[in-house]
Amino acid sequence: MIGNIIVLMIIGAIVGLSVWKISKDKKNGVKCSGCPYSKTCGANTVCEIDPKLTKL
Amino acid sequence: MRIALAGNPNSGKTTLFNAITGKIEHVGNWPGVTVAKKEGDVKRDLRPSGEKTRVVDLPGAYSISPFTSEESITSSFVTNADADVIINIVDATNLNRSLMFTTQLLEQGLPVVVALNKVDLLHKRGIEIEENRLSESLGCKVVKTSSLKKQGLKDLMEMALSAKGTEQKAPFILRNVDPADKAEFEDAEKERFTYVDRIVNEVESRVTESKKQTKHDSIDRVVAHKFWGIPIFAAIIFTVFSISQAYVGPVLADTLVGWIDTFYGYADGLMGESISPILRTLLLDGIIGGVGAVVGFLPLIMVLFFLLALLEDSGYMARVAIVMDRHLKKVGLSGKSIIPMVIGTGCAIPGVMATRTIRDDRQRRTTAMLTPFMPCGAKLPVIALLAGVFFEDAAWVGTSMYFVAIGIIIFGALIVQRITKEGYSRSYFIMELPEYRWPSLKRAFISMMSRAKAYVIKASTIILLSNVVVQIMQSYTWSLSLVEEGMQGSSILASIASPFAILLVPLGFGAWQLAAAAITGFIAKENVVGTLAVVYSISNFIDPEEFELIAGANDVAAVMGLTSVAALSYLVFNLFTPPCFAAIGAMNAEMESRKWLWAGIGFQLGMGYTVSYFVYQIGTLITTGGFGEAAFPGLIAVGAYFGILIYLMRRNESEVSMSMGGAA
Repeated sequence: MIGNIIVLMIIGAIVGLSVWKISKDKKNGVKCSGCPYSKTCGANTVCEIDPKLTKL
Repeated sequence: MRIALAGNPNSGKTTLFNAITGKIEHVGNWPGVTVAKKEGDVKRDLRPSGEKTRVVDLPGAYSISPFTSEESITSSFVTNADADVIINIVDATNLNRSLMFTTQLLEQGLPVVVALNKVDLLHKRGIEIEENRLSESLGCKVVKTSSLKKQGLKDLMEMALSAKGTEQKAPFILRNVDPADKAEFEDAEKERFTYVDRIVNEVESRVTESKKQTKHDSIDRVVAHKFWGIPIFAAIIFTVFSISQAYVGPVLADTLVGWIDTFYGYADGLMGESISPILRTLLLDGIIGGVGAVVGFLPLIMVLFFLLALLEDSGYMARVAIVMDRHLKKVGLSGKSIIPMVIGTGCAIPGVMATRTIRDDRQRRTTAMLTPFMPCGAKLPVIALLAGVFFEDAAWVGTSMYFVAIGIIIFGALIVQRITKEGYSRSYFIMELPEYRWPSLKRAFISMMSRAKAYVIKASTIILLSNVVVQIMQSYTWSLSLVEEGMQGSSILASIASPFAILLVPLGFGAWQLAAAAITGFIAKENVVGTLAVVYSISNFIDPEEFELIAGANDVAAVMGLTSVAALSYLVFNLFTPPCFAAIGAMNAEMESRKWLWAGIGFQLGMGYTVSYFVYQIGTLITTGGFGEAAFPGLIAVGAYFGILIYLMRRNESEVSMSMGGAA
């Protein structure tokens, strides 16, 4: 019984850490954990760029 | 304080950015690598005053008047005075062209410091530049630097920090012209050119003649040749795959997989028999086994990325763009389309994002639709798995996937051109070829480690969670009771995947396990490997002998119920159907059209299915003398797909002829 609880806690911790990392990345603007450039804005999201200029 | 790095493409901005911030942003020995701005803090040893200094790396631009969206980022940043000081990175080996942009920057009124970069190449090329005279002529400070060799960085930063708040005068001011008046505008720009030319004549002396053919020109005549270029590219990719997938990679992978197996055995032994079977399976097969199977391919991926980084750093990849340009032009794509596709071999997301350098909407959307066909890093474990298990690590498998992708891209571009009815239009692709250089092992190592880190993060987040969900779905039935031994077909996972599996029978892989792996591949392509590991309870994909033990048969194919031809078909299906959701998100952002997005996904799905169908059916016909399973229903599906494409092309042709008739 104790063994089951320990294993359950280990699984919970591993899954919890993964979920925490993904949600932390999301908050930082990283749309896909482990994907290169996933924090960069797309062409039509124009972060800090004058929208008029992107369509020149 | 905020410093902006601005300059022409391939002048070394990102390399300088990395050198002064300590970051490891992706650099490439060719223009167009940076398509969005990046920010970082200057390293402490380069700012003696201790004042926090932010540096912004802007995409390369030839002009303040933007032509493409990434140029507009630079233009907007500079004209809106978002920086205290601009460091203008000037390619010292190409002063004439670089100073055109410099004079435009000086007109903006912000303090400018010129970093005369790549000075390490000046001596080799017989060029001398008097930086003091250049400084006097331009009216700003000039520092000789080599971002590659980290020379002159301290002086550069000192001058940049001291320039804050100073007044900047422009030595040349463009007379007031109406930009809409093309002729007048060009005349005014010619005055700028004459002015720059005069400065260059004053400060630069060249010993070598520019007309003289260099050894780089001689190499280009061979590697960028219109006939030999493609076979040479094929040979290089084959060599890269041979080293990474057949020789060095597997040796390193064996060691890593050995450690994972040991850890698996240790965890198994530690838990003993008293632990609940579901928890035991979840931890051992779902987490350790599933993630371990994906991580097991890490050495192969690292070796591959190391070699690709060496190629990129050498300047060869820019030649590939030139080689492919003539073929892409014929199918209505811009020569610029090749750059996203080459970047897409690393990851489809930056590849799709790089399409923003293409000005024409149709060409940009078509390129964004076709770029994900290139085998990206996430697809490499799938290639390595199936090539390793079914084809004895044959390098031709990976190499051929690149060329099948190029074939599909050319065919796809042709179809889109016919559907959208864009007639033949001449497009000119002008790309400055970077000089060949000995690739840096250090830079390749940094690039490889950066990729490896990303791979491990992905494996321990998205892949891990997917494996846990797959394991749970495989362990329970819809009534939430545990699946009995040998009754895996009654699991939630099997019941969801089975209807899809029926559709895949004509492709040679109708097992629900394979369908489930293909479906999870849409979350991340590495999931194909992770899910196969979970559903077949295998943690070691590197050593095919394990398959034989599990199958209890001598034939590896018995484990998955696949023939070699069906395995190739399965590989093709996973590679050429739509990419992961993150890449689809990037497609959505760059296409800026839901209609194009859904059409693109439909096209990718149909194309992956069709190619996979032909690989299986024709391959089976050749190897066994008869067609494979469900050849006729599959033919109907493929026929329907082509029927839709032909209908769309014809509809467009009739619309065009009607409009021409109306016009007449």
